Amino acid sequence: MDNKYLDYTAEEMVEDRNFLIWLNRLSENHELDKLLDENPHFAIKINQAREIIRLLKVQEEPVLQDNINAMWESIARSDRVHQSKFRIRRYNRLLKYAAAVVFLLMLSTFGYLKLKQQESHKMYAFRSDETVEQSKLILASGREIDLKKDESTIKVNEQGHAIRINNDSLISLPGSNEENIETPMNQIVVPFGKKSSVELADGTKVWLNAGSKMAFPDRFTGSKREVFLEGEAFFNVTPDKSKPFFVRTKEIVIRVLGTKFNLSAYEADNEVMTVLVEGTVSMMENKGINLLWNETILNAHQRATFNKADLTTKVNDEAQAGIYTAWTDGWFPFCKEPLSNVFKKVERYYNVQFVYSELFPSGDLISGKLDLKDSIEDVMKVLADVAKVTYRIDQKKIFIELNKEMPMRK
Amino acid sequence: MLTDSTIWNDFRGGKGYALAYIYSGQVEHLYRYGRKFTKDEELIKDTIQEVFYHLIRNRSNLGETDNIRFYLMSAFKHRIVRSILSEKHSEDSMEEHNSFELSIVYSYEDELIGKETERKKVQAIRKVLRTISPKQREILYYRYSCDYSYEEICKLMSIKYDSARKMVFRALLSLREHLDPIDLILLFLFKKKR
Repeated sequence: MDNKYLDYTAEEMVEDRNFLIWLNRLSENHELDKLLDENPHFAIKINQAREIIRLLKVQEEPVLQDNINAMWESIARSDRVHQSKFRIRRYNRLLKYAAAVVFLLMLSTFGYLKLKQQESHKMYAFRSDETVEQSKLILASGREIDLKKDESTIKVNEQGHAIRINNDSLISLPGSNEENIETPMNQIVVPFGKKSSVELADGTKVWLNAGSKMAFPDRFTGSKREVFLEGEAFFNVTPDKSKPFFVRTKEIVIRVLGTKFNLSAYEADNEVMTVLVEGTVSMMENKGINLLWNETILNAHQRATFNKADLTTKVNDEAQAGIYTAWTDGWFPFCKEPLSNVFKKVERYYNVQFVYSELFPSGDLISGKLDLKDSIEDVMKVLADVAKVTYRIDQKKIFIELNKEMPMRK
Repeated sequence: MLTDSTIWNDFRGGKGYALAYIYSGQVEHLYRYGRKFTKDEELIKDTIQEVFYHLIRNRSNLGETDNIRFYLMSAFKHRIVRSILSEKHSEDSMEEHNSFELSIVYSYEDELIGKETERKKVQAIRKVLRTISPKQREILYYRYSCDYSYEEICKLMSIKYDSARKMVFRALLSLREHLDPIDLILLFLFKKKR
C-alpha cells in the first residue's frame, strides 16, 4: 500500500487532490476503516483536515430572482440597442440578428438549464421561479412540449433516439453518432398538483411527485448514469454494476447500483430525505470538495435525513418504508407526522396555499391516510376534523383557523 | 457539452444564445462574490451590469478565454474595488490606495448567529477564522470555494506563485492550530454513520 500519505499533515491533505482521490478509492474498497483503526494518528489528522474543509465551506443566502431578472432586463436591453447599431453597419445580417434578439427575449422569459462544468460542484441549474400550469418536457434542444395530462408518462426508447409521451405521440431526438461525448440533458417540470412518470433509456423508472423537476439525458453514455432532481421522486433503478446510477440534488448525491428508493429534496423543505425500499445506496453531500467523509450507507428499510441547516445526516430504521412511496399509487399515508408536514404536502399535491392564523400549524403528530384522488374539499373536511381547525377555501387559498373552543396551542 | 471557449467565441461572434447563457450561468456567482466586498447590494448590481455592458459594447474586441467565470470575476473585482476606493476617497481623502483588502465573510458567521443554541459554536468558529488575515481569507475563498488553480489565483490577486502557495499553507496551518479548542464541538458533525 502507498503509505506516504500516512505522514501527511492536515494541511497537505486538504491541498493535495491526489490524496483525496486515493482516499475515495480506499473508501470505496472498504479499506479505509481498517487503515484508520491501525493508524490512530492518521485518523486524527484526517479529522483535522475535515474540520478545516468544513470551516472553509461557504454557504450563502440565495440571490433574489427579482434582482437577477431586473439586471437581465437592462442587460438584454443594452444588448438589443447595441445590436441595432450594428445592424445599420451590416445591413445584410439584419435577419440573423433579429432572430438573435427574438431568441434572447425567449430566453429571458423562460430561462433554461445548463450544466455547470466543475465536477466538484456539478449541479443542474433549474429555474426556481418557473411556474407552469401543465407538466412540461423541455428537450435539450430547447423545444418545449406540454404533457397535458395530470398524470403524464414519458418513455425514452433504449437507443435514446425517441421519447414516447403519454403512450401516444412519439418525438424523435436528434441523437449523436459519437459514443463518448456527454449527451445534453432534457428536463421535465411537474407543477404542484400534478404527477408524472419517466422511463429512462436504461429501463430505470422514475415517478415524479408534484412540484418536482428532473434533468436526464437521452441515453447514458460514459461510465456512469446521472440524473438531477429537485423535489420528490421514487426511483426503481435497473441494475448495472458497470454503470453506477447517480441522483444529484442541490445538497446531496445518491449513488446506487440497482435499487428502489424514494428521495424528497424540495427547495422549500429544511431536510432532504431518502427512504430505501430495496438494495443499498450511499448518500453524500454534493457541495464543495467531496471527501466522502459524510458518506452515509443506507440499507433496505432505512431512512436518511439530511438537515440543510447544520449539514448533518440522521439514519433511522423505517419499518414502513411503503409509507414514503404510497404517493405513486395515489395514497398519502402519514404516521405520527407533524401536522405542519402534512399541510405542506397537501399544498403540493393540490397546488393550494394555506394561510394560517397565528400559532398554526402546530407540531402535533397525527396519523392517517388521504386518498389523493379525492377533491381538495373532501380532503379538507377530513383534515380539519383531525387537526381541530376550521377552514375557508377561496380559490387556491385556504384560510385556516383554530377551533375557538380549543385551548391555545403552543 | 459546450465548453467555455465555444460559448465565449460564439458570444464574440454575435451568436444570440451566448449572452443569456453566460448571464444565467454566472450571475449568481458574481453576486455572491460581490457580497464579499460590500453589503451594498445596489453597488453589486450596478457593477454586474457594468461588466456585462462592457462585454456587449466590446463584443468583437474581447480577448479569448477558456474560463468565463474567471474572466468575469477579474473584471468584476477590478470594477468594484475601484468604486469602493473612490467612495472611500470622497469620504476620507487620506485613505491609502493599496490597502484595500476584501474581507471574506464565511457564511458560517452570519448563518448560525440566528439560533441561540448555536451561539457558542459560532463564537468558536469566528475565533478560528479571525486568526487568518483578510488576504488569507480571500485566497482560501478562491482556492476552496471557487476551486481555482494557483495560476488563476495569482492573476486575480496579482501575486507570485510561490507566495500564493505559502499563503495558502500558512492559512491552513493557522486554522489547524486553532482548531483544537473546538474539536469537541465539531467532531460530532463528522461521525461516520453506518
